[in-house]
Amino acid sequence: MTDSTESVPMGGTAVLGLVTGEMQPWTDYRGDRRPAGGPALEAWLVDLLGDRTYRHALIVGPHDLGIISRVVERSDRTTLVVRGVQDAQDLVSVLPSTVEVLAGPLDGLASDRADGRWDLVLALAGVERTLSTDSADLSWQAALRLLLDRAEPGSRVVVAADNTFAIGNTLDARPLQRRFGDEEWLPFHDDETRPGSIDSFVTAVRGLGAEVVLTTVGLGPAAQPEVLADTTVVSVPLQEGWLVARAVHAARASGRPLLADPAEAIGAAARSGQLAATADSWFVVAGPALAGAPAVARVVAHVGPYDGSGTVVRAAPADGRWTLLGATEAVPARSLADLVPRPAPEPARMPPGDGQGFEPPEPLLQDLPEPGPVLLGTEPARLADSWPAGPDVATILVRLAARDDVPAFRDLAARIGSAARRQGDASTQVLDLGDLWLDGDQVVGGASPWVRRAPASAAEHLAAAWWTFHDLLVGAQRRHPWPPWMEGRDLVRTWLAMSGVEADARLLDTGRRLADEAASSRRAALVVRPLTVREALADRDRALHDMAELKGHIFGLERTLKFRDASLKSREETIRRLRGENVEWRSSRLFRTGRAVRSTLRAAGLGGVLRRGIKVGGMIKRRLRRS
Amino acid sequence: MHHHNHYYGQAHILARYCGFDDEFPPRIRGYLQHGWNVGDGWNPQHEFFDGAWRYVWSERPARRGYSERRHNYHVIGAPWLYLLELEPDLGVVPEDERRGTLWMPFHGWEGGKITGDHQALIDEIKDTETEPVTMSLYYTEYDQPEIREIYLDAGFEVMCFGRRGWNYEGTDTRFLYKQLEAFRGFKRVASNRLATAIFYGVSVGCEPSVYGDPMSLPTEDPLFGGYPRVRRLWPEMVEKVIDPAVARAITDEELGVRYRLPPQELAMLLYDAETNND
Repeated sequence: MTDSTESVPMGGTAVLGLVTGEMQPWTDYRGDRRPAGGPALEAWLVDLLGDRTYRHALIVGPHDLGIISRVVERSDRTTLVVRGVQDAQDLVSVLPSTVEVLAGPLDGLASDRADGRWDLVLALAGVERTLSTDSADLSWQAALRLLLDRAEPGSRVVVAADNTFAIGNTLDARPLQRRFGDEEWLPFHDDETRPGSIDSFVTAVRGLGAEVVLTTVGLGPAAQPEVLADTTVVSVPLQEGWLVARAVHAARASGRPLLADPAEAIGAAARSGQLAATADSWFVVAGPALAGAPAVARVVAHVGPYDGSGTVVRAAPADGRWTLLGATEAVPARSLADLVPRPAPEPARMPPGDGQGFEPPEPLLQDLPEPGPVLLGTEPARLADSWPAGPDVATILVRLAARDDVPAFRDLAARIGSAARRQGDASTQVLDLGDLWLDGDQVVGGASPWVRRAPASAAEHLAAAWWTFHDLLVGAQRRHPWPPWMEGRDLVRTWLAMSGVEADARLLDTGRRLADEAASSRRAALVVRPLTVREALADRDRALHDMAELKGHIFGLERTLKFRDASLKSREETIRRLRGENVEWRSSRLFRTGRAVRSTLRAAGLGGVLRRGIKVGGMIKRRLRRS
Repeated sequence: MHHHNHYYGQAHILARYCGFDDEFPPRIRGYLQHGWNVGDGWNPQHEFFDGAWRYVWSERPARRGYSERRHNYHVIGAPWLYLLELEPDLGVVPEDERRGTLWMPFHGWEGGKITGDHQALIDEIKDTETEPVTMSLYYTEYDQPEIREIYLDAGFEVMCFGRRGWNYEGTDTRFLYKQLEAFRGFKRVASNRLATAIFYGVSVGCEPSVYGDPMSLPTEDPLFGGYPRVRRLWPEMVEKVIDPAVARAITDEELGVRYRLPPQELAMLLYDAETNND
């Protein structure tokens, strides 16, 4: 599988044309609406297209410059159809002369270029985003037919559809009409002909006479999935492990404001073999049989920051392990918005009437803020040839904590410490418990390409790893056996001790800083994730619970104080009584007589008589006690 | 936090293990299980203040507690285990010099006295034991001369390990030290009920034996199933002749051997920041 890292030089000499029904003004390349692309999809497409050169390729709908480049470099000629005129003009200014850019919808292409046929047809953003406000009132099925009719016999067709049952969609905090830009003019998700499952998607394509040769799911933002996985891989029960972790990361990278963290739902879907049914998007490949076995890696995943840099990992499951098929550096595709900057459009405002202006209210769900700094990098060479397919160490630790099994937790923590020390004391390899596995009785890494900019000691890596785990366990209010007053530094210190590291304040601080750097880089677009409803409710409940327990604690302390007061009082009374008796005794005639006798005897040098007398007195006293 | 934590000097032992003053041990931030128990570590009527943490010997009490909607358990193992670590040589004699049976009958407490046939028990002990017998009476029975005399007249040695304490007063902080020293010298430990002392004895190499009239305590609350449930759950341990390997495995489980904590970790669990930062 080849993977060129260089794009076709953009000369800006493409040809611009129009088909009936273009949209003005409109953009599919700026703001919320993203074109299809991203490093994972681009790598997957490269594998799919192989070394073949196509005579004339057709790309319909918004695709990023990375995707377009890969097609252009494998085609003699390329026709690109985008519905917005502004987008078409911008694309013409950056694409080479072998590309013809048409502004308009798919049905405009079908009517204006009725005889046009292509030997490669792509619609990786789905068929809905090929239609415009002035398109005919076409159902999804009808649009799919128009698309497939553009393909000449024996050609390759790749078409995508997003899934309304996607977990990210189900958890999306926005009402339906605010989730999809196109819904502003047409509620296309009400279309009954849209596929509700990968099977119905395949059936629809086959029903129009195309031969389906591959089905793939996309996990992550619908237009720019972070993971592409062969349907056969995700249609079986999967335990928490590398692929599920990638799916969770992809879901968190969606850019949607969510009602709850998707990790739990994705884990449950994976365990029930329903990851395909709940994926963000599907890709169907039709046409001649694919060369190679398999032609496309079973799983293609982008591991890196949200800016598209990082590593593209190709892997396949076999015999209880993941086998690395290839790891290449991901080069972020240049965005059209970066190459052809335009000012952001002003929001529509009502004209003032009677001196009153109409200010639209601020939406409750704001756009996510700008990403934080990317402080980690990735090195593809860090990946091992294979790694276990079972649950990662973080998942195992979470399960042990939920079972209150501190001895087993301690044992695993010790093995983690050994793994960290094997890395050496000046390593840049990021240590993340979510990227470590049990291989026999050893903890091993090998599935993570993340590296730090500067080396850190094994103890510092461990401290960072345990802080990250703390955020996972305690931050998500997972069940664990440690009391609340230990949460935070004491708990991390305890876990570090289990890993064989005596932590001082400096190490804890360093670990916290390194953990924050890793979090910032991994969720570069989600540094300040909006608080989900579930988190807000859970925090509220936790606060009320803690308050009740603190009240109980105060009660316990006050009661202890009461007992202590009673003890003190009885001791005080005893002391006073003894003091009084002592005073009385000292003032008694007997005591004074004895003192006089003793001092007289001493003065007369008869100390021996005194000592014998004292001894006899002692014997009398002991006898009295025994009786 | 509760005066029961001071029973038998257990709070003092843990303080010593953690490197703190064991004459006036620091306050524990919760409740410490002070005896082996078939419930959650405490009796059914025990009251707990909200938010209290419960330090139990093994995982089963915690699970039983959770099932009763009690919360905040942490398994730390029995304080006895920490004493074994602190005093590895106390009372140790060569194995072939261990002598006698330390017999520990089921006992009452300040809130209730046991009822049963002491003479029948004595007869069975005499029929069973081949080693010299020393009866260890709980102080509530030891303080009753009529009970003490029964066992003395039977020809047994009679002893008491000291007072448990109440409301932080009268605690014999050497109680468990004396027991440890005694167990290490005796060859056998026996009782008419499976109880804490049997496990303590097994943990230092005594042959265990459980037989005789289990007696009854009128105030005993059957909510957790009472002694019949003990017999059902640990039938192997309610026999005159008990397999030593089985006894050891069950003892390690019930005392929570694998849950022992290092001193710093235990200190962070038990004590507040003021104590730990001193």
